[in-house]
Amino acid sequence: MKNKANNIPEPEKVDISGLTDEELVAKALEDPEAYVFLVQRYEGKLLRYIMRISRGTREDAEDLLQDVFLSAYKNLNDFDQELRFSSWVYRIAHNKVISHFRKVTARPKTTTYEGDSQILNILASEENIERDLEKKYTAQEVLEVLDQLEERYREVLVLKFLEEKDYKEISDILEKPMGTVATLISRAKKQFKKKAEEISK
Amino acid sequence: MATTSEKILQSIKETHLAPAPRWKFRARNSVIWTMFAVALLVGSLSLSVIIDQLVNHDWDIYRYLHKTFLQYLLLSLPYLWIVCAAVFSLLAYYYFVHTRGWYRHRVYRVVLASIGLSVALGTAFFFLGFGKQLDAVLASKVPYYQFLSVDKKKLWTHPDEGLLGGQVTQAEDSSGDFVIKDYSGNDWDVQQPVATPKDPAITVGEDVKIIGVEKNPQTFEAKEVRQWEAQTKKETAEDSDSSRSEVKGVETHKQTYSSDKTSEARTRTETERSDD
Repeated sequence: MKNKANNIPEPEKVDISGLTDEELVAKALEDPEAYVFLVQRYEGKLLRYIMRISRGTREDAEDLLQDVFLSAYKNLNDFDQELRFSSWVYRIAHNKVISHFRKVTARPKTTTYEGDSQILNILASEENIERDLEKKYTAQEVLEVLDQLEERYREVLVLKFLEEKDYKEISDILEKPMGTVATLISRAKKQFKKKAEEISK
Repeated sequence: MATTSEKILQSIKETHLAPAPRWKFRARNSVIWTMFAVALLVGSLSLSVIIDQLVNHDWDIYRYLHKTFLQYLLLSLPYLWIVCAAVFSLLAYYYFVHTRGWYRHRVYRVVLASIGLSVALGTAFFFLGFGKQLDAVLASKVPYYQFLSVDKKKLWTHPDEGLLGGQVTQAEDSSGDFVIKDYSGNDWDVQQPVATPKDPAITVGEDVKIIGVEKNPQTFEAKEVRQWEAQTKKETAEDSDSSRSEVKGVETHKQTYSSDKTSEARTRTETERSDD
């Protein structure tokens, strides 16, 4: 298509929303406007993730989220093409939350959303489904259980069962070998079940 | 109210935030890999010194010191180098787990590969003589290094137990006897009634280790004479530079006495022939 006034060809319009994350990263390196699309793709997921693993209000989580996106933009050239962008940005969020709570020296507290308790109820009973079929944990009980877990166990449970990440993605986010992730999940499930039983008694 | 993406874009524009250049990340990765390589090399060098010290140790003398082998082993281990090798191995591991994508390897494989590489390099350095050289350089240049190392001289300063070490000060005696100054500064007349199995060439100025019997406070009867390994010779030579000059009657040129009686007899016969 040509511009009628000065005969200069107009730049070809690309449907940016159809690009993959990795293609958007390449675009964002040249044009910050393209980065907005990446932010829009992940702001909801990351806000929920940050709230799930952190203590504090929604406003705190939103501040952390902005920090995550600005840090990701600054380090865009360090994005490892062998990773999925989602794993990379979740990793940055994970590190930001950890360093934020190191600064404020408060233990992160879990927040669950509607539906989370249902998933975690399945988790709590999946080791002995027949015996635990009757058991139902309230959202409050699930929260209490998660809060009592060690941080590393809580984090893997959130990633596996609430964020629904696979082992490879969890390995990339936490920068731990897949074998270690599998061990952590197995131990976390046992600890979750034990604590859930204690609370229900 | 601005959305998150609008706030981010606004912040990027206001602060003129730009992605950090790729070379910075590459440089950071290169530094980490270099530190890993240095830690691995130093760890391997430490291992080569450990191997050298263990290989060249006199493991058979514990009976003379009235110790069990375990007690002697604990007394003989090069703890300084063991600590050094452990610290640098841990440092190598630390740097490795800071390299990009390290976690994609299984931990046991990483640990096994690190140990394997350190042992392979350490053994190679040992055979190349790096361990011996490093030990010798540190012994001569670094103050107090000797105090932190296994004191081999002390092990050989037990004449009453049958172990005597020192520097040869006279060796011209045709009977095979020679004189040494031990590490406490005492002179000993060392007698060799029979040729001993591991006799080295007895050279003035060199250090020897003797297994035998103390006859009296100045006389020691040798059953076996051994040479100090290269690095010990170097360090003792430097240590006793001053003491050597104090020894009375020491020839300024090197005198060598071969304790091999057969070769001595052969030499004598050849001399007699040339006289004829």
